[in-house]
Order: sequence, then structure tokens, then C-alpha cells
Amino acid sequence: MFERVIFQLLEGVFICRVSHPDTFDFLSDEDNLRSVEDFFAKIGRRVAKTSKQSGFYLVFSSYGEQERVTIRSNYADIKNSLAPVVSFFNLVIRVTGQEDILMYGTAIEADTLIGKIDQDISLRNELQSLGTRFKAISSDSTQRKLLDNIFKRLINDGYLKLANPERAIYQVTSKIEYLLDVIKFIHENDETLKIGDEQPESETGSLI
Amino acid sequence: MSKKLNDLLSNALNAIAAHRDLIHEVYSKGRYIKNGSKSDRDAYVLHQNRILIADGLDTYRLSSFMTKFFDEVTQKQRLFELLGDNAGAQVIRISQLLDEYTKAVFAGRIEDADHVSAQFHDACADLSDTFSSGISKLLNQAETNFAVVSSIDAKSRQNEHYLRQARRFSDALKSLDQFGIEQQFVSGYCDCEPLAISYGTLISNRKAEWHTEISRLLHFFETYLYQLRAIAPDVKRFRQFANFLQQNPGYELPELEETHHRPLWMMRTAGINTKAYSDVKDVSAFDYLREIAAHLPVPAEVIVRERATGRIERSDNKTTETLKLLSHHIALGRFAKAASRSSTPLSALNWKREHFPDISVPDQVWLLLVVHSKNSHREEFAKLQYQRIEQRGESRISRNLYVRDVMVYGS
Repeated sequence: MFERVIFQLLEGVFICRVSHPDTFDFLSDEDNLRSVEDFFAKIGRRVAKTSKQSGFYLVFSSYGEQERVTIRSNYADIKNSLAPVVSFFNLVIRVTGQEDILMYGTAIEADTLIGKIDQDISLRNELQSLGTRFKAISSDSTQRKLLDNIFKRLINDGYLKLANPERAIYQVTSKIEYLLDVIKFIHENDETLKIGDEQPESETGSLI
Repeated sequence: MSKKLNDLLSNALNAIAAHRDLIHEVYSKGRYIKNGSKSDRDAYVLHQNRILIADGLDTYRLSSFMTKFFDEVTQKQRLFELLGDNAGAQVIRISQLLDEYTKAVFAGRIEDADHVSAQFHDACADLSDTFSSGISKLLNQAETNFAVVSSIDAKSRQNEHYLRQARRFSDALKSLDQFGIEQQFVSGYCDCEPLAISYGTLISNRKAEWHTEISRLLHFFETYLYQLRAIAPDVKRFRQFANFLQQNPGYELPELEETHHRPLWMMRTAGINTKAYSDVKDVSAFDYLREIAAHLPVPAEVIVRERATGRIERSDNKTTETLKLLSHHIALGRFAKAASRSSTPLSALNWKREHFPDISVPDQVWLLLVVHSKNSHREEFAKLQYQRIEQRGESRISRNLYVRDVMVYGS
């Protein structure tokens, strides 16, 4: 199990209860986590938790010239892929009305989604445009095929897991928290983004 | 039961059976409006039996008891349902009935005592029902994450409400213990056997289960409420950003500056494509390997037939085929005989080098033949014992096993 965890983290995956339940359980044990941390400390890396503590991923433990190059390369990837992913989740929220889609572990039912999209021409157009941005359109693309292709892309990118293939139910993984962190950073650092009418955030920890 | 009561009950049941379609319609639509059709008369009959309640001049709705019953059957979720509010009062009622029973027994009022005993049984059944159905509904809310509402704010409000309901149940359970009803039964202060049986069957025996379920629910509601509150600002920011992207499709993310604070997500390492070599002898990898094996497609068997021109002729002339044993077949047979006679384990490799040095089969293939001869079903091999001399490979990753020799001896 130790070997599997090491390889999964090196591959850059997010390990959570939805995506990798057995390795997540392994890492949830403090002793196991410590042994994995000890291993990665030797190669200048450490295991980090997502902002809502639902998943593990690998980060650099220090910042040097080599890390700077990788970080810039990662950021360039995010710049290319962020907009379609955000648009997809926003479409799901608008179609289903479920804002908790952005919570790790939430289920998305493809049948329900396509059923609602089919009834509204503007949603169909939006899906079509999303398909182009995801490069998910093929010559024989129906709306359903298009949606399935987008789901496949999001599974490959680690945002979703196919939880029930028979009923086409997908589950959101902990990588969604990474996405929300990226948006928070952009929101805080981009002056051109005029979103600034936000209320002060509540202290969640002290409310219960 | 008196005849009058019987008649009332029969009439109500008959009315339900006869007008079930109308009841179904009223439950689904929420009300029935008079429209001058035959159904008006049916609605009137149901109203007479208190199944429909007049709701204005020309409107009927289903009685709240029937509605609750159907909600229970269909597991329908309502907003801000009052589930545990009643439980505390029901616990107090049980305690009061127990006091009343004791007083009636001490005063020698046997009929009153019997009456109170029946009421006590019903009160216990009511409380048990309140707990069972309430917990079931709370579990339903928890499992569906308050599916009846969609926004994070609305879910938070539902969560807060049902958390309060779960706490009411928890308080009611605590007060059951505080009243010490079970202690009163065992103290022998009064002969409460009929009450003790009802209480034991309907409440005591199920208390542990209720405790567990309510603890689980409280934990779920508290955790989920925390998560909802934590995610709320993120959701708001996400939607604003998504709307901004929609209005500004040409928007590009800002360039990364050296001065930027580097949050944790930014320090994420790039993925490395790795290839793992599982150790097939490692027991902990069995499940993983089995899972991989189950998903491997069955290889397609391709049979290539060469096409030929000409005529197909059938000849009944018998041809003679000569079977010739190959040298390694002969060697294998002799090795089996030698091994069965030998008093000590015979090295397959040494024997071959000694007796058949010129054979064209390489050592590794010879070892393979010896190993597989065990499964050949030939009589001379069946009684032999095989012992493989194995060695681990040098690769630290694959840890492959190599067979260096095979020791064979007769059993």
C-alpha cells in the first residue's frame, strides 16, 4: 500500500475518499502519513491537504529555481484549463439549482442533467459551446455524447469519479477544493476582476 | 368496541376505499376545488368522514393526519418539519400516567388502574412511533443532503432546523433516563408489571438503537453545517467568477508575479508518469492485482486460414504416419525413471549435463519442461516430487523469481 500511495502522489493525483478510498484510508492514519512524509522529505516534497481537508496531494517543500519553473508551468496549464472547468460546474449549478455541487463528494446524475438541458435551447447551445472549449465534439456528437465526453475529460483531469456506471452517476472529488483555491487567489490578486462586493467571510469554526 | 364506534370506523374505511382516486388527487394537488361534477358529492362524503377538511367555501384539503400518514409512506420531505418537538412532552405524559396508575392502585381503584394502564401502553407506542418515524425522516434528510432545497443558504437553514430537531430527540432520551421510570418498575414500590412490559417492549429495548442513530445524526448535521458554512463564501466567489467569465469571454488570468504570496495549491508538484512493477508474491497486492485482472479484456483468438486454389479431393486411401520421439522427450522419460529410482533428490540440470550433454534444448527450456512435466498426466511423472530452487531477481522494483534448478525424487 505504501508503494501505491507514493506512486499515486508522484503522479500528481488528489487522493480522497471518493477517488482513492483505500489509499485515502491509509494516509488518514497518522503513522502511515508520517512514513510517507519521511519518504518525500528526502526528495524535497511534502504531502498537503486540500483547503477543506478532504484530500491529499503532493507539494514542494521549498522554493528554488527548479520549483519556480514547475510552478510557472503548472500555472500556465491552469490558465488554459480553468475557464472551461468553471463554466461546466456553473452550468451544472444553473441546470440543477444545486449549489452544493461544489462540495466534495456531491453526486451529479448525467441522465437528470441531460434531461433538463434537452428542454432548453439556450442550455443546449451552452453545452455545445462548452464541448468546443473542451475539444469534446466529434463528428457524430449528440448532446448526450457531448456531455459524456466532457465527463470523461473531467474524470481524466481528476475533478470527477464515475461512481455508478449503470446509472451514470458521477461524484465530485477533492480536486474541486483546489479549483476553489485557485479562484480565491485570482479574486484576491487581479485588479481587473471587479467582484469586490463580497461580504466579509464568516468564522465557520466558531459557529457551532 | 361499541357498535357505534364500529360503524363509524367501517364508514370511514369504506369511504377511503371507495374514493381512493379522489384522495390520491387531493394529496398530489394539495386541495380539491368544487367544479359541479360528480366528484363534488364524493368530496362531501369524505368531508363527512373527516378525511377531507373544508378549506374555504368551495375548497377541500386532506386532513393533516392523512397527509402525515401519506408523507410517511412516500418518505416525502417537507420544509422545517416538527419531528422531535413533541417527544419531550410525550415523555412527561408517560411519567404522569405512571404516577396516576400508582395512585389508582394504592387507592384500590382497579377499573381506573386498568384504564390508565391501557393509556400508558398507547403513550409508549406513541413515543416509540415518534422516535422511529422522526429518526427515519432525519436520516432521509441527511442521506439526501436536504435535496428539497438547492441553495447553500437554504440548505444551511434546513440543516440548523433539523439539527435542533435531533437535539430535541436527544433531550427527550435524556429525560427518559432522568425520570427513572425503569427504576420505579424494579423498586417493587407498586405492582406495575403490565406497564413494565409495555415500556420494556416499546421503549427500553429500543433506547440503545435510538441513542446510536441520534448520535450519528447529530454528528452528521453538525459536520455538514460546518461544511456548508465553510463552502458558502467559495460558492459565492465561484458564481461571481463564472458570471464574469461569461460576460468577458476573452478574459485571461493575471501573470504570476514573483511578489505574489505563494499559497499551498501553487506549490503543487507536476505529475510524473510512473510505471509500477507489482510483486506478485506480496499478499497485500493480491486485491489490487485481482482488480486489474478483472478489467483486462479477454484476448481475441485469431485463426488465420490460408486460402488455396485448386480442387478438394477426398481420398479413402489410408496413409501411414510415423511417430518419432524427439530427443528431449526421450531425455525427459529417462530422467523420470532415474529420479523415481534415486534415493536422493536428483538435480534436473546436473542429470541433463551428465547424460544428454549434446541435446539441443537449452538449460532454461529443459527446466521448463521438467517443471511442466508434473502436469502432463503421464504415469511416470505422477509419483514424483518436485522442489524448485528459486532465486530473486536483481531488479529492486520487479523482484521477479527465477528457477535455477529443479530437484526431483520419487515419493
